[in-house]
This record gives sequence, structure tokens and C-alpha cells, in this order.
Amino acid sequence: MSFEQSFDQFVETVISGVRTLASSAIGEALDQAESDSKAFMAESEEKLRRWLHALKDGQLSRDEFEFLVASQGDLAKMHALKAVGVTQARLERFRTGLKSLVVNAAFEAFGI
Amino acid sequence: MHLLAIRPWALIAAFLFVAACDPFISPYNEQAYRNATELKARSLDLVARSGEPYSRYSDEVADLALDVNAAYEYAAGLPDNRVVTNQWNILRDPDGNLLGGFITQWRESGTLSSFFREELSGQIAEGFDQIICVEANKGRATRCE
Repeated sequence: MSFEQSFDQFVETVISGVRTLASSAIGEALDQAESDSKAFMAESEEKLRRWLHALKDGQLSRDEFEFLVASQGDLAKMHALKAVGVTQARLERFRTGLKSLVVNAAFEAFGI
Repeated sequence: MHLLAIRPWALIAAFLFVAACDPFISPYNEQAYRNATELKARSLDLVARSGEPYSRYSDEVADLALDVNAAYEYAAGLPDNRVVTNQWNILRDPDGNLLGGFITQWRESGTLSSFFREELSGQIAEGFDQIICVEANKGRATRCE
């Protein structure tokens, strides 16, 4: 096999591998972030209803109610950070996967 | 024509550049994961006891606060770990509304009411779960429910 043919095979292997890596690493991260944020919003609404009900019933004082509402704000920040962290972790796997892919494809194509 | 011939090289060079970048996040760390899971269990145990007078548990609370601060410092000492460090900071903040705020409330009020501590327990557990989720995902892709 000529160098040009080997190089074409190398490029083809790398590009098809990158497609697979990217869809599992980045595509799934975006889907997860979207579904997590929807779930968080739905839970927030449910909690707020429950706490308002408890406030009316006298199970919660006004200070306790305010504290819980603010705690949901803190959780929103932690959820946002989690989305960033999970995406970073997936990107890191993409990066290390890419490194292995390029090296392995070179070994395979050029018979090193 | 010349540019087209260069493109594959440019593409591979770009891939190599990405592969050679600094890590996006610190690698999985067993101690960091254990810190979060153990401190979650201890924190929820104390929240469950906060219907009793704070003075009875002040030593345990001080120990917990110390260990949470140690977990924060441990996270802050790991490279590329700003996300988890910031999460610990929100959770432990005594002026905030999760674990640190719970300790402040209990100390100032003496005891906490039943409904409030049950709800707060769920909030604090969820806060810890956000840290645990990031730590678990450093090891392998995990869907955290």
C-alpha cells in the first residue's frame, strides 16, 4: 500500500472514530443537561407548592419558608455546576479517546 | 487544489492539538468520592436529630463542620477541580441555605421543627448528590437521578 493510500485510510479511521466519540461524549452530555434542567424546574415547582401549603397550615414559619426557598436557589447553582462538571468529564473522555484513536489509527494504517 | 491536499493534515493537526490540551477536569479520586458520601450520611444523621437541643450535639456539629471544611480544602487542592470546589463552598456556607445554613439555624434556634428539618434534609441530600454526581462522572459516564 502506498503512503497516500495509507494516509487516506488513517484519515478515514480517525474521522469515523471522532464522529462516534463526539456523539457519545458531547451529544449525550447536552441531552442530559437539558433533561436535568427540566426535571429541576418541575421539582422546584412541586416543592414550592408543598412549602406554601405548609406555610398556610402553620407547619412552617415565614422564616423557615424563606430559608427553604433560598435553599432551592443554592441548589440551582449546584445543579448548574454539576452540568458543567459532567460536561467537562465527558469532554475529558473525548480528549483521551481522541489521543488513543489517532495513535491506534496511525499504527493500523502505516503498519508501525 | 493545493489547499484541499493540505486539509487532512490540518484536520489531524487539530485533533492532535485537542488531544494535547490540558485536562478539562481532574481525574476520578476515590478519597474525594468517599468524602462526599460519608459526609452526606453524617450530615443527614445530624439533621434528623435537630429536633433536639443544639447544645446536646454541639461537639458532633463542630466535628462535622471541620470535616466538611477539610473536604473543601481537599477538593481545592486537586488540579482542574474548580467545579467541585465551588459546589463544596455553596454547601458549607454558614450564611447560605444548605448544610452551613442549617448549622447556623440550629445553633441560633436551639431546635428545628419537624416539617422544616424533613424538607431541609432533602435539600441538603440533594446538594451532596450534585457533588457525588460530578465525582462519579469523572470515573465513568453516569446518569445521576
